[in-house]
Amino acid sequence: MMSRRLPPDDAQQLWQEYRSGDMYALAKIMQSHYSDLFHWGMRLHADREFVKDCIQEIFLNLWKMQESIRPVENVRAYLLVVLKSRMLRELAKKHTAYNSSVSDEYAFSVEFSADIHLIEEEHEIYQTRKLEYVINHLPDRQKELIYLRFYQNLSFEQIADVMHLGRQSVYNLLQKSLNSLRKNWTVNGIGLVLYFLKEV
Amino acid sequence: MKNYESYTVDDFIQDEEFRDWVQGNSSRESFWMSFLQQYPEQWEAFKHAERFIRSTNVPDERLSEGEIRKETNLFIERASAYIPVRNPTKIPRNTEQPTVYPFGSRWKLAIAALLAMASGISWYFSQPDLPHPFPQLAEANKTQLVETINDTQQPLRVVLNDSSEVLLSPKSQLRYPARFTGNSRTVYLTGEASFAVKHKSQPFMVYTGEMVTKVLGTQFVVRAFDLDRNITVQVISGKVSVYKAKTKQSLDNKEVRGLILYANQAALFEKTAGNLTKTLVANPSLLNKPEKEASFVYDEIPLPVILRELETSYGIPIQFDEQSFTSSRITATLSNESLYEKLDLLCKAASASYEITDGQIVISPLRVHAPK
Repeated sequence: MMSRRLPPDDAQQLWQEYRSGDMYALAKIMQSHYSDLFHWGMRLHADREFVKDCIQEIFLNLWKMQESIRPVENVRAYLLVVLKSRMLRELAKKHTAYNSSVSDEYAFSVEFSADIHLIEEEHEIYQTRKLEYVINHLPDRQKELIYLRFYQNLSFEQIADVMHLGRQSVYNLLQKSLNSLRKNWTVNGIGLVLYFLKEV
Repeated sequence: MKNYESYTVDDFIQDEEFRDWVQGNSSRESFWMSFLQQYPEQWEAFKHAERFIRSTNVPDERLSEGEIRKETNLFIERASAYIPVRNPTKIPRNTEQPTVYPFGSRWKLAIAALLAMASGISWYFSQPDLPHPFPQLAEANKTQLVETINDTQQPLRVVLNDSSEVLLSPKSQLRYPARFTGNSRTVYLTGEASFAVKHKSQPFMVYTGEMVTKVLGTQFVVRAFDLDRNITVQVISGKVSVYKAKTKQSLDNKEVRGLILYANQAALFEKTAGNLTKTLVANPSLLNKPEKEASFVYDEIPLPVILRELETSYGIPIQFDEQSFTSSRITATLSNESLYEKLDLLCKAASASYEITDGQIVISPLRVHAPK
């Protein structure tokens, strides 16, 4: 699915056209980002119809508010941010359990599932599965970070935007993920010292 | 050139090309396939990074292209109700008192009435390039469309820039340029509206979903609510042409597959099959409504004479073999009956039957089975 993503320049172009009043440019933005937005939304709250409704609402709002919408640096990251705040707001309305003011206490659920269908060696499958297990046992915020980096393919700055964190906080979180991964690898005897995410 | 000799696990992981390759989307397949032959000392870091990328895989949600298209269409449908207005002085919406339209008395000229039932307007987007469903709309956007929605209970009168008048029915929406420019006058309708179009060299076109109605005469009514499967166009009088709104090319092309409809004829557009066929309106009306009640009094009049008179009165071509019916003489008084009731009576009297084919009435003698 990564290969089907609209190149950022094309998305920028469409964004300009949408801002100058072309509804079909916005429709194309919606269509080409739909999979990513839906996937992201399902991580935040696994209710298909709810996620679809929220995506409808954010695009309808973008259309209604086009006069006040500014150029954005990255369309996809912007949409992920908008969808997230929309969903958290709606969930806060629906459930008293959610408190919209505590924006960093939302649920995020992702199940990493190693892509092993092309691996033939059993040892390699075993190693990959172990790594998958370790990553899946990281805290939610750290999994969210890994998800945004490696599934949504966002940059360091974009992750900071989407997670409502400052640069430094994202950095600290990365260090934390890294440390726990290292510790777990050692404990599990994988023997891999992976300085991953040192500089996202 | 990247310095692959000194690449760490981290460098591999953060290398977008490497990630793309592990995830099976690489444009440099052969490069990465032969990478370890080129840099054998990087085996460890390469393998670790590859393993890590594989581990961060997340299965896609079950979401079909069809679902995405459906959601996109839904958005377009809903967003269409909010065409942004940048020139508020041009909006007639809610600024004019709804007026009851004195249909019969005011419009004495040939009235072309057209009823189009349009089902849910749907746009089909195809990857990778999303075509404009309405090429004209894209053009018109540049000259800015004004939108009027009638959410009152009464028809709403809208005067267009070329002095044409539109009577917009309740729950209907009309989008039109603040100023008509170019070679055609194009408006977009959802719902129902009556049009009194000023005669000009630029054709006046009404877009309703997948169908275009091009006005060749002067006045008509379009009805295009979103609920039905078929689009039907009924012409009470006047002359319009109807064709499918497929591509810009087909609009420019003189030989568009369309129909020209005259008074009391109707077009039926089946959305699923995409067929456009000609028929008659449900209840044909008299073209020139006389001051008094029209009545047809016949005393021993040959059937062909009566049929020709009906043909003129309703403006519908009636086909029949003159010779078969010259001997049929009719004595009757016809007045308030519908055209079909009149035809029933006449056919019964003359031992004939009629059928409607291609927007015309065809009358043929009944095949009487002579008793043996």
